Amino acid sequence: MRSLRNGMLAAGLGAAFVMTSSVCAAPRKAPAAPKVPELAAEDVTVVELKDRMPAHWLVVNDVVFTHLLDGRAYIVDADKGTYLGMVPGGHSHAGVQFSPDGANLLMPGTFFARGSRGERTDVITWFALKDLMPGPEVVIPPKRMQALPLLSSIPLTDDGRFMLIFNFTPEQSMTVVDAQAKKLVGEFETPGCALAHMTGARSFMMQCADGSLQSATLDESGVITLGATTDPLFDRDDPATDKPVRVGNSRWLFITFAGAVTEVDNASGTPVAGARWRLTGPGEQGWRPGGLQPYAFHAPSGLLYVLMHEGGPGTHKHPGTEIWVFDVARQQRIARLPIETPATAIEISKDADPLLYTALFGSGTVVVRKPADASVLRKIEGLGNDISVLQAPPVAAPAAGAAK
Amino acid sequence: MRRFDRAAEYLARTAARSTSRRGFIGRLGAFVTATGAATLLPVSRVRAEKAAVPIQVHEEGDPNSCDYWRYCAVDGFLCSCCGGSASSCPPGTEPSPITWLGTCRNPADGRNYVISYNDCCGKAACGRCNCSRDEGATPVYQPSTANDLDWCLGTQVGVAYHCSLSVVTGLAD
Repeated sequence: MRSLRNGMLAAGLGAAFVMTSSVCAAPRKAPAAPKVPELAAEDVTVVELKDRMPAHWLVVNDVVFTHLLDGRAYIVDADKGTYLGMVPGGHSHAGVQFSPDGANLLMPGTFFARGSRGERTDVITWFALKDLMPGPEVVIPPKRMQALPLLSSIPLTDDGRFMLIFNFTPEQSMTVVDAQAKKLVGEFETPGCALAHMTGARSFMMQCADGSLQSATLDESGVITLGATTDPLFDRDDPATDKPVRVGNSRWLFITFAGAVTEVDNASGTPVAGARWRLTGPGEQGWRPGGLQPYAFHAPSGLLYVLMHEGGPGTHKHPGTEIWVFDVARQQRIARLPIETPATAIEISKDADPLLYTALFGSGTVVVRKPADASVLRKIEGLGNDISVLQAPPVAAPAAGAAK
Repeated sequence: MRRFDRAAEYLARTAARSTSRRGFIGRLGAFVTATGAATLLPVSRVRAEKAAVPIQVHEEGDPNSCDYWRYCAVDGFLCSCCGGSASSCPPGTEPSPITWLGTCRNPADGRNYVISYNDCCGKAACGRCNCSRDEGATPVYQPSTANDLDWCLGTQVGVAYHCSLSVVTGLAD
């Protein structure tokens, strides 16, 4: 219709011009030159980012479940709500680790020579934040656990010296990479135990199939030595999730599917179970934590943010409909914050004036919120397919929260 | 309008082809040729296709639905929707030889069965009928009952995950 109307308009104007020109045969004038300067010729450029990540930038991991070969991490500016760039991750993308200086992202990836088939290569690649280009890399044994993303399957020591990669073939072992020398150290058997929860520059805890915890240490060359093992701390019927929360240098909260909390300290090299408490109070037994990343701990305030939903056994991956906020030191809930959009992932920036982030698997949207009341500040939409885990960067100098 | 014109032209040409005498003779010739060629081939080359194994007689429900009883602990793409069935991998994929187990109650007979959730492997994710129910599923450090893991381990084709089976292996009780 528009083209038809325009055509009629042009025909009318043309007729008017013919009539006018037949009356007055003045010479035709050249069109007046436009009064604005002409556009300058352009050069093609490539954007560069900052040298290190500001506190309110965020890494948004997309496992791309329907196209698992194409995992990736997006980088967004949560203050402005803008998309900044992307880092490719490969098959079964787990997430990234930040180098302690915040200048590099360490990206473990799995690739096949012919797309979805052919020789498998597992590799850690360093991407400089400045240009997001692949830099140095270390090829590791092709045994990296392929699973829904767990950041504790790819931890970095607090000083950034070693990266640990949990293997599952289904034999369980840990690959160690010297992240400073960018060399493979070796592979170490960890029978019956999985993941690595860092408890110091050279120590960590593993979770074992019988519900016990295994301590382990690294020496200065990166060799792992297994240490003490606890008695089983959790029931088979209500196991601790594989997503514990680090609340101190050597202290972690292990939280069961039903919301029972046990604090464990590995300062001595032997994991010691301390305080036990529950996320739910009387009359709240129907509520449970759930999602792919149900917990976010804000160290400066000592507050734990938990995605909670109503549901029974088997709902540990269900999205949260409320955010419950706990004072970890007092083991008390201080707020219940309903959210308008359910979420499977929650994260909080690590600065003193933080932003709270949530995302729902499959939505492609990160919601930026005020931590005090979970009110929505802004949304960043169009972020791929299947957002798994969110990662706020470290804000302090090296050795302060480099590994999640 | 141009799109309608092209569609009309396509329909007209298709109708002309399917109704012309030359078209009929052409198809007859093709049939005769194919029949003759088939009879000349060795038997081993004309073996029948291998169909997906359907659900058993004493079962109820739709295996293309996430609500189907065998899927009580599954997390992934249902092979029933991907060219296979609850116990057959789609063509060109390889079943994982090791896997994790769940226990589901068959509503048709009231019995609990051990279900083996083998993955079918070697191709990119099917992407159809994503189903996550997680009943009895455990964290990855208890792998024999964990459904967050890619179980395409020990296959010849590699760990690329395509879809999930739900195979009855026997009674749980």
